[in-house]
Amino acid sequence: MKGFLSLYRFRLPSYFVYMLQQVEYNPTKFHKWFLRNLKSNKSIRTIKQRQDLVVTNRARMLLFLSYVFIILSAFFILYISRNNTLSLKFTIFAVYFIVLPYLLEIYLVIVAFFAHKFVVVPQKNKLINKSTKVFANHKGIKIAVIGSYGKTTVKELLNTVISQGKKVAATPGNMNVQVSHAKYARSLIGDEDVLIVEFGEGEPGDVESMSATLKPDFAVITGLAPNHLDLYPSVDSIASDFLSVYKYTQKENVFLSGESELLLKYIDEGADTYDSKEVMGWKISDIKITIDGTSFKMKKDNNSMSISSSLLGEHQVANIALAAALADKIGLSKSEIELGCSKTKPFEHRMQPRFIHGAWIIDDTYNGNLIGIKAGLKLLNNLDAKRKWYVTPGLVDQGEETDSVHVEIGKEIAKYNPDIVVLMDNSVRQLIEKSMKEYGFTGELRVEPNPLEFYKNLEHIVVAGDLLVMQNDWTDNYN
Amino acid sequence: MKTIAVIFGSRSAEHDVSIVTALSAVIKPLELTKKYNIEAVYISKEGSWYWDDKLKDISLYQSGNIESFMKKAPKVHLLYDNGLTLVKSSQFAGRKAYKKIDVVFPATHGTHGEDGELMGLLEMANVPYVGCDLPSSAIAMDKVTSKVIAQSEGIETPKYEFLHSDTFALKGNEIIAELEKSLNYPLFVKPARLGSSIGISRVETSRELVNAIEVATHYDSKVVIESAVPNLIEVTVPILGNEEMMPALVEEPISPEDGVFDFYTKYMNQGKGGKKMGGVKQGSQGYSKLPADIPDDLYDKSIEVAKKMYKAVGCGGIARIDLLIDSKAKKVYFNEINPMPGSLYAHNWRASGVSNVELVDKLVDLAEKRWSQKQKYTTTFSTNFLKQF
Amino acid sequence: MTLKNCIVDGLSIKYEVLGDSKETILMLHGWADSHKTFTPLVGLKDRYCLILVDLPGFGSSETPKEAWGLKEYSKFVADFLTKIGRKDVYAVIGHSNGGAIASYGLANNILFAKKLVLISSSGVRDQEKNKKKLLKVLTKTGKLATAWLPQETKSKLRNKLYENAGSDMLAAPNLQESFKKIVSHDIQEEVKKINQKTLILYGQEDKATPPSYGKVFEQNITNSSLEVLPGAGHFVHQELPNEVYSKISEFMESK
Repeated sequence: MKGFLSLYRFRLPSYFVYMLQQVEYNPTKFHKWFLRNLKSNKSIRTIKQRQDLVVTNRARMLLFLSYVFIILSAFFILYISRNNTLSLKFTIFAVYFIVLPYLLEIYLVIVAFFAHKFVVVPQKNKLINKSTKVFANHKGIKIAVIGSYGKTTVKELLNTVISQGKKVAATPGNMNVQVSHAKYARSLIGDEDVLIVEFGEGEPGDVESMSATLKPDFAVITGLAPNHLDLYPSVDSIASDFLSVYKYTQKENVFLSGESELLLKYIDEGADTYDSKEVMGWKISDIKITIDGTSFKMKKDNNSMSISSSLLGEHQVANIALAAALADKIGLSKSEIELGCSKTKPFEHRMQPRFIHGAWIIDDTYNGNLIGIKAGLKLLNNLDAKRKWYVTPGLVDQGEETDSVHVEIGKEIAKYNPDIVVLMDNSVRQLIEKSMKEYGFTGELRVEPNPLEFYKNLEHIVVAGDLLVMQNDWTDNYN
Repeated sequence: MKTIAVIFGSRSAEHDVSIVTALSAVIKPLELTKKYNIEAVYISKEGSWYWDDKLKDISLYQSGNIESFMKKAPKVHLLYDNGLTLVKSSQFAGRKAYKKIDVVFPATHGTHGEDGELMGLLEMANVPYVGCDLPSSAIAMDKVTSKVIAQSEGIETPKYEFLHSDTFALKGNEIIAELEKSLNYPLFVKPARLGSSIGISRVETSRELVNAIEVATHYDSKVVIESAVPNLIEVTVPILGNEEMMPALVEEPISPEDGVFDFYTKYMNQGKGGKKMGGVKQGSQGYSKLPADIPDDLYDKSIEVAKKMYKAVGCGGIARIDLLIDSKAKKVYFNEINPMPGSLYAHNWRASGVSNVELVDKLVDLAEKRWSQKQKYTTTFSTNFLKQF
Repeated sequence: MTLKNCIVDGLSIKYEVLGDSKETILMLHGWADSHKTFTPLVGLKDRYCLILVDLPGFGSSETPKEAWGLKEYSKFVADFLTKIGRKDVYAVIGHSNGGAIASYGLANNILFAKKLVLISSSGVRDQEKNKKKLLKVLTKTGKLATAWLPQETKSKLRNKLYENAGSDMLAAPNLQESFKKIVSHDIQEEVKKINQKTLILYGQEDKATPPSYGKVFEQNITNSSLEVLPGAGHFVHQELPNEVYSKISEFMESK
């Protein structure tokens, strides 16, 4: 009832447009969300709790069209019922009012469909042609960062380290779709030494098309995971999209994460992999991890580097080392690289430590995959604390793998057996809970109905000496 | 689910502090236990009672919308019928809304609440309530009475005198002369029953003393004048429990240079100034060293004195005992006792290993235990007195 | 630093005394402000004894129980000075509403001093009349017109309306009646009685009390000089602390 009534809000169009924005104006995704929302009967107001509508020209246009639709349809109803009796008029109008949200939804699906086909797609093609030209004429070294996870981290690491000795332009934020690449290309001045571009995978052929546009000198593939299986038919197709970068970049200049077991299945012999033991011929040793950060040594021939970073976790060793090694390859000095690495810091919501009232909170809510979960639990295990907490709502977007992934999460939790595990009361909770117990979890389990509420009230829940790792947010459209 | 009424605000200088205690340190964590249904009962500065879920939102008070809320909202009736029931007229056709209360969590500070007045009301209703009971609250709130109790238990207090505003108005000069004879400067002048540090002055001359008494009598008719403790270290010990006492960490508040904890440094200066000085933490009430930076023997003695005082006064649930230490003479003096510490001193409990959620849950449990224990005692007797009459 | 405390007219008053010279300067802050506003000027304590007081209703002083106008406030200031034994003041510095209180007090022989400094002083009201009318209409009709809107939107909208009407009312909601009393009191004529040497400072960009008010004060106070400081708004002494400080100390030294 609440969900139903919540549709009759004056600001309904702005909620719809917000959701359209979230799904990049894809009509199918939007419609799926709407159906899911109807089914779950949640108030529509819950969706904008985290962020608000970003008012772009497109959003403004859609809002305008929505209100025009409402007004025109209302007039239309008044017009067709003009000859009826007052009570009938009233009934017609009442019926119209009740179905209005659904009419509006259908209308917006249609508008989005046409907009997608006649505006979004052609515009995109035009932009891609333009950026291909810009990149072709640019004399800087081009580095592509590809992968199912860890792209933004690796991109930022490369940016921070290489910036110590070169002029670098990297794609901002996690703007990793082609349209944003075009914007990025336009922003280039031309005197940059190094361009670092993050490739986002949205649908089959995306990465290949981006590679064709950029023609990278170097490429990094940070890992493969069964993400976005709603858009890619299979993991195979994601892998082949990633590996298509070989068509545009020399084999010895493509570096693949050796820590991604799934990725290793798809690569040829001689492909250059990197991990926390060895990166591009550099041997890694003396890894130390504390709440303050990560440090290690790198050795190659007679050269050695002492690397330290405030990034947290063993899984970051390979990434930091890769940034160091690649910086070395394109000509930065040892001292520049060491200084650059020391400047790397945790990113917002990615293994970001916070100290509240004597307790350490490691915020990894932007994580979205099993590898990250393993890393988070391992970190929780390696650090000292009086009491250890692990908090997760589980993973979204797992398609057919949903069951197996969450069983795996439960198993992983049981392996490290933290004192308290907090799960959110959602569709995957029982999967994790069952598996956790099956594999021998002996700690305390708490179930929270509302993740946001829980995050906000951490200060009331923790005590001094606690260490809490929280991972994977449960975003608006998956409620 | 049990229903807990959290009562806060009231006619007190610490009205605003009470709102923060209730909303952030009591209601929120109580809700997070998911065990109770929480009713917010707000007493305005004028003394009117309101009961509404809207009162749980801090922005209502910050924005000043509380004024327009109070204009519209119905006031609360208290129904005493084998327990406590809240009653208000609901918006629908003059019908009344009733809510039977299982436990009350008083979260008021200072006058007209923490001083025992509210507890008297709750005793009459025979409803379990959190924290110190009527007599202990009343004793704790009076700086003179509590000193008398301390002395009777052999606990040292700074040398003190007290006076009433009427007598001072009549023979001010005489009194000043007497005070100067029995006590040595520097002196502290305090309203005897206020709770917060409002109206407290430190004086060194008779001129200042006169002014300070005038200021103190502005707030209370009873004023206490006491000698300053030399080589002073101030500490405070929160304690939880009924018969069985559990002390938190001994905490050392860091006061401004002249030693008086001014209301505005105590409550308003949050987030300003020194960030992470070694071992210095920002609690809910300004800065403090947690645990106190004092030798082990003084640390233990502080806990001992605090527990002794807690028991002597007859506190229950929670209280915070403020002590004054002469670091050279190694003496621990009792200063005062707070039946309802601001924000429950949650920062200290958290550091002691009790989370805010666990703290409030424990307090509700203690309240219920004390209440059910009390039910065992007979207070009514059937007599044939009336028949004989 | 802990403020000094005393009881004046039955109200607990907090104040600060800085410097130990015999020549005293009294500083009166503006509406919804506190003595802290004068922090940029405390350097004057090397040469003078500064008295900074939180006026009733502001800072950490208590709020008067009934509505106070300029008369009550200036009477309070006189009582306060008597109470702390500093009746004889060398100069008064008033910012905004503090300037209006000082002007009113000096003009009506409630306060006594040799010099007066007005910083962005209020007290000239006729140019505000339209605004005030607008405000009144808005407070009345605003409620009706916005009654159907959700609460949050309503308070946002109302704040905006008040803002545009130039109201300080929101800043101190418990003093609304005093505020109304004060803004309906025009002291243009009364200040003609001021014979103290007066320095008038205004910020060129000041919207709350525009430099045109300064001109009115300059015309009506015989022995006065106006300085309009470019690039500053209503809080001139905070925006251009060095300039204001040197202008005031020069003025204090002058014969």
